Amino acid sequence: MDDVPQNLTDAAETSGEVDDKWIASSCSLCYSSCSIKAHRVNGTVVKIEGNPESAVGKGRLCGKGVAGIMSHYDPNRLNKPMKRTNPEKGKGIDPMWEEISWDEALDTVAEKLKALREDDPRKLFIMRTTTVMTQHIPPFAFMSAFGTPNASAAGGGLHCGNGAHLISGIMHSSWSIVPDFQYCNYAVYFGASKGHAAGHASCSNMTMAADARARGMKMVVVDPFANQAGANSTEWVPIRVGTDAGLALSMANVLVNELEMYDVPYLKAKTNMPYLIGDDTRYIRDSETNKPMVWDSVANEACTFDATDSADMALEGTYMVDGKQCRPGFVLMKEHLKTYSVERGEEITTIPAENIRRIATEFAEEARIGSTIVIDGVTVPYRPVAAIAFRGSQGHKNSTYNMLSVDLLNHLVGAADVAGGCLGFNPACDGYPETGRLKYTPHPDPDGLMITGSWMGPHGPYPINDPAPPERVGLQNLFPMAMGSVFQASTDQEEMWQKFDFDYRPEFLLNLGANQIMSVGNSDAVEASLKKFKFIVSFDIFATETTEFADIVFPDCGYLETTDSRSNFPFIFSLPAGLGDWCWPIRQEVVEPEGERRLFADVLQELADRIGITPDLNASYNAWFELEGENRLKLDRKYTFAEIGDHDLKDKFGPDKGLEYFKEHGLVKWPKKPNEVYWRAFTDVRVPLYWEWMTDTWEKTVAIAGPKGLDIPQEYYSPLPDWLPCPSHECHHENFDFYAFYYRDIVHTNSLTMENAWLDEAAQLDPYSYNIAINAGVGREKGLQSGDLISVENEHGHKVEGRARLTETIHPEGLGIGACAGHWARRMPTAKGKGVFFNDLVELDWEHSSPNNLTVDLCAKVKVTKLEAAQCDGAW
Amino acid sequence: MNKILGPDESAPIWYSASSKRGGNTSKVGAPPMAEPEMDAADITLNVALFGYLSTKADKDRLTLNVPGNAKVRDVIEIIGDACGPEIAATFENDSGEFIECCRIFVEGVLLDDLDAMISPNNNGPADIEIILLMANEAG
Repeated sequence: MDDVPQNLTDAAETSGEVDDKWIASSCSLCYSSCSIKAHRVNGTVVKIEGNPESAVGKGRLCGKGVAGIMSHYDPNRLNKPMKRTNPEKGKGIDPMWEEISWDEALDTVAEKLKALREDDPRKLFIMRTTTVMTQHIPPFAFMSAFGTPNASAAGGGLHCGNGAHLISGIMHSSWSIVPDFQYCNYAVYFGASKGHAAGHASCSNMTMAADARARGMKMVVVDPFANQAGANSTEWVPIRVGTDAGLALSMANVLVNELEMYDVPYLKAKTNMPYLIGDDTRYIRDSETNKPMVWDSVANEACTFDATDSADMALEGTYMVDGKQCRPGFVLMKEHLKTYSVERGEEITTIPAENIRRIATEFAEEARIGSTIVIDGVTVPYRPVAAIAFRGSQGHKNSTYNMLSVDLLNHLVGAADVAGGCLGFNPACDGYPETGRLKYTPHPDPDGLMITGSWMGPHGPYPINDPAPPERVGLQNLFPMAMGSVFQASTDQEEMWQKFDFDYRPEFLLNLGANQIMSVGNSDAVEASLKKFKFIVSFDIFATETTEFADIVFPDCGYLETTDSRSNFPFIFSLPAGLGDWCWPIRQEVVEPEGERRLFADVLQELADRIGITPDLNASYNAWFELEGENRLKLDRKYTFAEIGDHDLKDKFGPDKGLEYFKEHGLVKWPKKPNEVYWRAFTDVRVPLYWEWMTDTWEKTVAIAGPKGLDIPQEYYSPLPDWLPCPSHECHHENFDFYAFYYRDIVHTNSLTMENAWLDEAAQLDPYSYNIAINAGVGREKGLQSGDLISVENEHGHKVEGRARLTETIHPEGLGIGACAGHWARRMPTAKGKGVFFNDLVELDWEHSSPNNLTVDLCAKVKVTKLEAAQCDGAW
Repeated sequence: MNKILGPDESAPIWYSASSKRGGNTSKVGAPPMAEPEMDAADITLNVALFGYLSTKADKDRLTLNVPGNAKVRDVIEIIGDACGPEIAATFENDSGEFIECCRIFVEGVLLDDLDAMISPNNNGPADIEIILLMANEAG
């Protein structure tokens, strides 16, 4: 009890009862959901640590997780339902809250939802946050039960996910990618911080990345800013913002056309590079089976891809099949890559040509193409190199190709899901040994291409749906590669809805912990979109800037007041890749909810009951959790979320391992096997390095969008990846000298933690968290010094202000702003006024979004103006 | 071409997991189902529609008869016919494939194989539940 404050132990001794318990649960200060142990003494949480029993976090806990205690006991937490009394809504306008009873709040909301569902369920828009992954299923279950197709994940989904998850899903059957830290010797990071700040499996990866670096793994970090990953790198490669594809394709050209070092058997057996491509950019297909064809170089004839041994498939040559001239996809790839000389790479990225060639050569040589390794008695391919990318690369108009170009490097050398290579997060599992549940593995579609075995939602990343006339307010039916959509809050959303003859408008916003006015883009655009809703209900723990738009506020439970059968959905979301344990931890209530807080999932169940859709919601949970047999929910019974969790756990782990078992033990784990971790060598699937469907997708999209006056640029639908410029690259206004970008700060999690007092204190000590990073040499040339108050303005007149911080660790053209700061909510005093609100520089419209996956471009060409000289240079 | 630095020891591993599967007449994917013994008599289906489907169809329960050898895909088609083209359209994409976000439970068992036979418990009516799972993204 060393860490128990004396006053608590005194109180306990006085009462004669000591409640002194360590409780296994899961963190929620970011979406990694690392396993924790919370120390509770007499009903008060006094300390939080990592849980060493768990593979999720591996016993480590970052500063954010440790500081969770401050978010829990923040006196500004919401404790009672409230309704607004000020009918006027807007940014910074006081809602004039009035506390109301739960019954009044529930009656009001249920009445409106019932009427809305009878009118048109599509008018309900559900907004959730990605930060707390336990919030994944209840909103989607409610959404499916209610019958609306409209939901989004505010900035979290839109900024980080569209390209990154699409490519990781199609190419690795996984939500994201990471180096195999246990065996990797050479990792290239493109705008990613895996293992060095935030992201999936955060604390696990920090441990594993540190061990890998200590072992000697060389880490090359390609990033405009050397902050978290860059600061720990072997080599930092400063790059012009938004040009990752230019570098990756130049490196690929070195591998293929200069060094001629690539994994031929892998390309033949595991990709569609042998598939024959006609002059129309499409596969040559067998007339009888419609299967893609290859050239059998032994039989010297064409056949379907599954009719000959992969070893006999040609990667080179030109052939005639059924009167059509055709070539293997690899020929087209090689020719395409020739257009990306290292000199062109330098022109695009500013990275010297010789550096590009050197890094590519190191990557190729370190790959040890052709080698194998024996792990636990199993021989697997050994490729100790990985190229990974995440938000920094994908957060641009060229999102899809940036990600695909980087991942291409892995596939060219056969370093995909093998020992030492680039791994997905556990895409194949033989199942929990005692029940056989949780078994999944990638499998092929009729073209032989990989379909994921496990995914976040019901529709996986591949095969790509056909474009269809849009019904969802984000237009994702028309843009089937999009997950999040700019049109949730864009300045041109009404124009788009009119173009496509929408016969309804979203009227009711159900907000579940998201703060979209801060997290999506410039607040003027988001404010306008919020004001269009006739009614807004917000479940939240603080009265955030977005919650200030709500008509009714429900005070939600925090993570220390919540019981959930899973800390992630799917359970592998933040389970570290590589060898180790499968691990399923739960989240459980450490303390009872304070005030009148209620768990949002229970409130949704209550609302469903009052609306009359309990059977729909229970059927929805049955489907989402894939509950079977006696573990299925009865349709007409109202359950608590904890009871549903009990069903979920018994369904997966057997009748003796329900919620009570997990409350006592915290988790279940079992060892991974090499054939699960390095599944690709044992699974008969291929991945598309040539995206043949893109031509069809483009034509079908144009057929729908063209008559409506929306131009769909074809270059974004090419089967082979290209570097395509961001709007910022095409801004040539005088004095707009910098490419502004934001990055995930190590101290904070987006906007979620800004109200946390300990993290705020840490951020104030950090030179960058709340300031604007500018290259020291360039800054001095412009007469700037650290501490100067500056204005940063984009070409559309949107501005932010903050203090400059000059540093040598940023690209000369770069301007870096951390996290999602600059709060203005009146009930968040710790967060208010701290840091810089980058997203006000992000334009939200079709022009600034990816024409194939609707990702918002997150960089802006900006002009810097000095407003006020530093007042105390010594402090900087 | 292909100037790798050492012997190619991994080639056999790659090739062995990518064996040919029987040429241009083979089917990719699940092995063909064994035909079970069938009762040719019609089966009564108690169908429950949930969420989006019930709001679109403006009903949440219906009773249908299907042939005794009906498969999941047949049932989906019959339900689509009974509920109208708007509902039928929600079950499949433009290519005529069953959409992944549709979940169908037969006697409480989730079926994702469209060629599975409908086999009611105890020779009584078969309980069918259908729901479309709505989701688009995460972060």
